[in-house]
Amino acid sequence: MNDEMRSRKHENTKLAKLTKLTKKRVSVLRFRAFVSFGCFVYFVCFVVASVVVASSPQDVQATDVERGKQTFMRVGCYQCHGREAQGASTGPRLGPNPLPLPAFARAIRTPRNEMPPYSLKLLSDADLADVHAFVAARPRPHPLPR
Amino acid sequence: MTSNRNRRAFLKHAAAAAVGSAALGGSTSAQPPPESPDPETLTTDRCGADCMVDVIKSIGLEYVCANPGSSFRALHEAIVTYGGNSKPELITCCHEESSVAMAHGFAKIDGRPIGVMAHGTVGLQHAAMAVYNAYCDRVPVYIIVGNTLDATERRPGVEWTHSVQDAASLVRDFSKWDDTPISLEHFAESAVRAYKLAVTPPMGPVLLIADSELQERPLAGDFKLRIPKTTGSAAPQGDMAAIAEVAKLLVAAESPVLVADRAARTPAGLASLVELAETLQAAVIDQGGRMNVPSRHPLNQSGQSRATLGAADVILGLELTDFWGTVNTYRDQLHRSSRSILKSGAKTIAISTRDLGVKANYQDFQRFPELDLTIAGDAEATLPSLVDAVKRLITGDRRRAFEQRGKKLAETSQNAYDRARADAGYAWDASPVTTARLSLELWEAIRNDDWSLASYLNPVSGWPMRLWTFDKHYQFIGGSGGSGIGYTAPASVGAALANKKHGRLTVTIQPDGDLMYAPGILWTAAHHHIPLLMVMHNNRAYHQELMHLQRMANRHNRGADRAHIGTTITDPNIDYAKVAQGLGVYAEGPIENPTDLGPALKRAVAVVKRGEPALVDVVTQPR
Repeated sequence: MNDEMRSRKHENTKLAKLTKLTKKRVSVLRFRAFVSFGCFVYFVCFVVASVVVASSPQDVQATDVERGKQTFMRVGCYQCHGREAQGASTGPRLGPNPLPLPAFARAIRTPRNEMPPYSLKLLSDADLADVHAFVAARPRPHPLPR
Repeated sequence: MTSNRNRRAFLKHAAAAAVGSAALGGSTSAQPPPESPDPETLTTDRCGADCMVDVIKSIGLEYVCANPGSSFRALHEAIVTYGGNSKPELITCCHEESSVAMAHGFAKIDGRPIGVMAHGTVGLQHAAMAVYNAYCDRVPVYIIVGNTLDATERRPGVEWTHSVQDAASLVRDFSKWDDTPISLEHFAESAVRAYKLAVTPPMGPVLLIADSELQERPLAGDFKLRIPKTTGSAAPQGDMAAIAEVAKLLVAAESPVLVADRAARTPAGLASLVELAETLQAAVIDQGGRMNVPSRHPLNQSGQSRATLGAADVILGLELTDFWGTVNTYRDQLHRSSRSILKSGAKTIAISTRDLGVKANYQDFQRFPELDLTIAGDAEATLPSLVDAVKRLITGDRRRAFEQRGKKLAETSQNAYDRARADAGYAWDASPVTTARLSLELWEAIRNDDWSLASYLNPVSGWPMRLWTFDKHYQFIGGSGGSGIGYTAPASVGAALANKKHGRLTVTIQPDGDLMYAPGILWTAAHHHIPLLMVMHNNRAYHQELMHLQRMANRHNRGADRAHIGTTITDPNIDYAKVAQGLGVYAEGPIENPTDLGPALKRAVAVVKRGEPALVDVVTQPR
């Protein structure tokens, strides 16, 4: 091996080391980017999940239910639907398996039937979600003997 | 016009009397002479009111409900003494509205009217709301009002404020007929005519003015009044050619629907409607004006009326209050709107007496329905001919199609019942008590007896009709007719009075606001030993109006926070058990825990079975 060859080998080794290092850095960067993206996705999922969880009968917070009950009474839902949202001739049963929150909200904001409409001025989105939590938390029916 | 002529004739006779003629009514042979014109003669053994009692007995009024009044003092006295207080028996009421509403409830059970007596002025003004209800509900009530037309005969003071030129004018817009007789023979003739008109469909309240002079006139001991015989009219039946056309449409239809409101007046009406439905295997919708079809009949589709009507190709309305409202939806929002629920090409037919008795001023005739065929006639009277006409047209093919249709309807009906049972279980343990639980607990307490429910079902979301088994005509009598509050309590007592001789257990689900109009009716029930179980639907509000207030508040973006002002019955809460006990009625409550309800009802039923009224106060959900 002559000097030129040794020199080229050295250069190649350096290049290889450098390349290896660069590749490592790229991988790290890629990993970091992946983690960041994952965090973002996780965040988005968390937000979406939070909304979904809030409308899920199994996981509603007791405070939401209690606030929802107070709102249900304060804004007069009980007048037509009953104090336990059990329904009457004047308004259908609302729980314990209510419409999904978006449809529930639509029915309250812009009712297609005779129901009195609830504008944002009368019922905030947060209050509306609480009402949804309340009706979702109503107990299952008592089975009646035949 | 008639009464004006009568008044002129009366005044003419009165003038003749003033110049020395024999007596009111002059010298015609029809007029009984006074026993003596001598003012020092202070007593008589007979009076005009005795003859009026003879007339009332001849007509067959079993009871007369009254709050006492001086303008009919002679008639009152004659009923309880000369008449022996039997047929008619005097029922003491604490308010004239109660008197008329009692008669209203009685007639819907019994089919025949009973009497009411009232002052022609203050009494009739109290009674007016109940007269309007009876008129809207096409129910016969026989009202006799006292008056003193001859101004020279009036005692100074209150008799003037209790006298009126034309007493019946106050309710003429919403009664079927009235007269102001000026002689006893005139009274007899008009009394019989009034009865006949009252019970001829379309039925309604009638008034007869009993002038105080006629009542108190002394009569010779041998005077005998000729009373015309009472003959009822056969109810008007629909035109036979039109009936044949209806039969053709019904038999050819794929999805015919029979809708009945005030159709079945008697057990025969219920049987005829069932026969028509079964012959056609057609869906029936009972709108609840009367007991039209058994609640658990497999063809009864009342629980899904809108879907049933939407699929119909022929709709036959029987004595519908509101045909337009039956086939249209109405949206009460900021901008009111409506739309038909009928499918294209559906035929609409009415058989009804509504067009035979309509008046202009009060608007109970509802919006004009555009129909394909209208038959002016009594639905109950017309149904047998229609059944016959239908039977004549049915072929084997049609019968097989009917059977298939009937099977599907039976399945839908059973599903509706199962759904109702499942729905009733929601909020079962809630306090206040749900109206579903109240209805089922009451059903358990009475289902093995011969029962009759006297109250309307809207305030309790119609639960009894969804959950109980109604199959006899007296088990349900519909509502007030005019939606005038204060009807349910007295009408229930009247219904219970009619049921008493049959030994039926009468129950009513009594709205709190309704009872407070004239709670003295509880005393009447206690005083006359009228067995009635009154179960309070005590939601502590005029709830229908509370919902209206909320509708307005939401529409105006102001919220329902103040909707309770003027619409709730709280602060203090009324203790109905104490109210009832104070009026002599056995009572329990207020019941807030639903588990206390069943035992309380059992105890109350035992009291009612002993022949007395009882009240159970239940604090309830709004509807």
